[in-house]
Amino acid sequence: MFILKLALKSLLNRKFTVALTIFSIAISITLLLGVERIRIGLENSFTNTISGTDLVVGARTGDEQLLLSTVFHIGMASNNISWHSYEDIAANELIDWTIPISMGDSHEGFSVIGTNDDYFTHYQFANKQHLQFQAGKAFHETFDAVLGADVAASHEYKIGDEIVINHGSGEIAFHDHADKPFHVSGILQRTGTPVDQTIHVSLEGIEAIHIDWVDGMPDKHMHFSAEEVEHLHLEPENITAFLVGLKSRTDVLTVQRLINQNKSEPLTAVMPGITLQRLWNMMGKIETALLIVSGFVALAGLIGMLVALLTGINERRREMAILRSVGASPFKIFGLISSESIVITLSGIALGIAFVFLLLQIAKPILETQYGIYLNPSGISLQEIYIIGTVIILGILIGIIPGYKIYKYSLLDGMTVKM
Amino acid sequence: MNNSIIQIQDLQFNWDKSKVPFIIIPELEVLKGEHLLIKGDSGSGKTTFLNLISGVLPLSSGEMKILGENLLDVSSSKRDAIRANHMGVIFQMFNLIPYLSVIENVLIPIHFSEVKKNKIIAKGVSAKDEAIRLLSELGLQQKEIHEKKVTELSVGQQQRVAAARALIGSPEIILADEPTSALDENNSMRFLDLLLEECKKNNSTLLYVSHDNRIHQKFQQSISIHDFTENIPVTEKTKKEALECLS
Ligand SMILES: Nc1ncnc2c1ncn2[C@@H]1O[C@H](COP(=O)(O)OP(=O)(O)O)[C@@H](O)[C@H]1O
Ligand SMILES: [Mg+2]
Repeated sequence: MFILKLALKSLLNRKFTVALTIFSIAISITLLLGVERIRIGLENSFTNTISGTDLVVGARTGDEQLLLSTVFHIGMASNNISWHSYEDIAANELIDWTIPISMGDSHEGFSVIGTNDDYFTHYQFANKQHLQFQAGKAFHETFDAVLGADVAASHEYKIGDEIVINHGSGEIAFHDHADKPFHVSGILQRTGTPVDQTIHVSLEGIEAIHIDWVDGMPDKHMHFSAEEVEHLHLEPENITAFLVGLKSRTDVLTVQRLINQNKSEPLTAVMPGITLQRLWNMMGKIETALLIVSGFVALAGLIGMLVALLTGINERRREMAILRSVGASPFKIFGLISSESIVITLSGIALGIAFVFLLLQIAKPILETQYGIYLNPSGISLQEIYIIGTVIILGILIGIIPGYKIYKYSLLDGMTVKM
Repeated sequence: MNNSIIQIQDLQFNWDKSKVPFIIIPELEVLKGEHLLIKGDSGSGKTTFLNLISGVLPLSSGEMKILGENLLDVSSSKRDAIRANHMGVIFQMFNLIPYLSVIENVLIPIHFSEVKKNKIIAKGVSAKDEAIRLLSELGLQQKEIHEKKVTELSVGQQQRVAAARALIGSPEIILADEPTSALDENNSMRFLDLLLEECKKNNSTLLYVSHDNRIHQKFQQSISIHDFTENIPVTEKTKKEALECLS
């Protein structure tokens, strides 16, 4: 007990060096745990993005690209699918349901997709959960819109609020559809997927706002008002993609082949699960590299501690001779020095964990709204316990080095203090 | 039951692996309450001798009984315990732990020895009061000194704190290794007198290393460490050691 008190007093006596050492270990831990937290968050958000969908279909393109654009709204589809082809395929008897998706517009940086009621019936995420409304209901009028949770939260939109859709997908749009505003008819519950950052309108709505447009620009000669347009025939000519649910999962390869070999236009059908996994593995490698880098940072922190402890060792031989003279065994002296490094390591780890939680707390809203990464709010994971455990063990092992050196000195020096 | 505290017979000590004995003591006895002066030139082995008595260095052969216990027969942890319970040590310098206060420095031995602690309890006083009493008797009675950082004390004051630490818990043996070599003459004498007085009060045996010949008459017995190392002339021996260390 006295030895531990002595260790603490000695550490306090070297406040500045000790604080720096603790800080460097804390930073290592923050980095290690932060990277791990974000990796888990990413993986969860990623694998929970879409479920229950057997195939995602778009114009001929790369598998990953199709999935990224359709599910994550990252990038643009290279081409469209004709409504005709869509109707043809959707009629296939192996297919249970389809969800048509039309993309290209946005509102304040959130993507707007045109779809139909099937979206709210069949779209599933996470563990085959269906979409739920936190307020209102699906769209019924041409200019109704259903907002994802983040969209609603970002501007505190309520049912009945008016929103204007921009042409294109950037935060800054050159043209808008201010002449035909939409009204919020429903707000979805949070899903932790890109759905939260999506505005859903009917395919007719998408068609209506573009009816008087030519080549991505408002037509100079022709203009229909919102009232006029509702009376027009608003069947879309094209959609961007569609999701497919099969009656039986076993037919997935058959249907996939069928779509990939579609005669009327070249199409790509991908199984989202497999493609998500492939995408994840690609990113996984980067994260492993990141984890290795943070591992080395942690090692550097521990070596920093070793250097700090070894630097002070010569001055401390005097202390050790004094302790030897009052009867402290060399083993106790070993314990004194080792317990100092344990105290440093543990404080560094504790501080590091505090940093991680603080930083994640700060980063959480940004990660969620900007990147759709939902961090695991619950306690410490097994993986994190492994990381912390490894650092503790390494810290103790490294702390033994100066302890052993002092032990050797104390045997050799006896009570002689030669300085 | 005789009242000898230290009994040495045919003691031999040699440094690591060296076959040449560094110290040979055919016979030496120190009695309870006796004050022994140990003389010798620098590098002659005085500190080494004290390290043997205190059990920090293990002897190579022979017999050295401390309070009846032969140090050659006991484990190093037992030697540590004997030192903790029955000895007090004062070094030449750097006696104090810099991050502890004066009082805390004096109290260190109490944390390492139940025997010393119990002796104070038997007196019916607290360890802290005992520390204050010793400091006062050694001329450090001012309260503010007790809580001071030891680095703020003069060397003379530091040595007195070290003496108080050696004396606390009334150990049977006090080992003092040139404790006044850094002090001026007046302070040296005053320090020695105070130390002798305290040892008398406790009936402690004092082994006092010094090369000051004028203090000779204050001790009952004095030895020259050269008597125990003279078989091998110091310079020759040191050379040999050095050569052996190199090889
Ligand atoms: N750890 C050691 N290993 C080997 N030789 C030592 C060691 N410590 C001291 N010596 C040798 O013992 C001799 C006596 O040292 P010491 O007892 O400190 O002398 P004194 O205290 O009389 O000045 C020194 O000359 C030195 O060569
Ligand atoms: Mg010496």
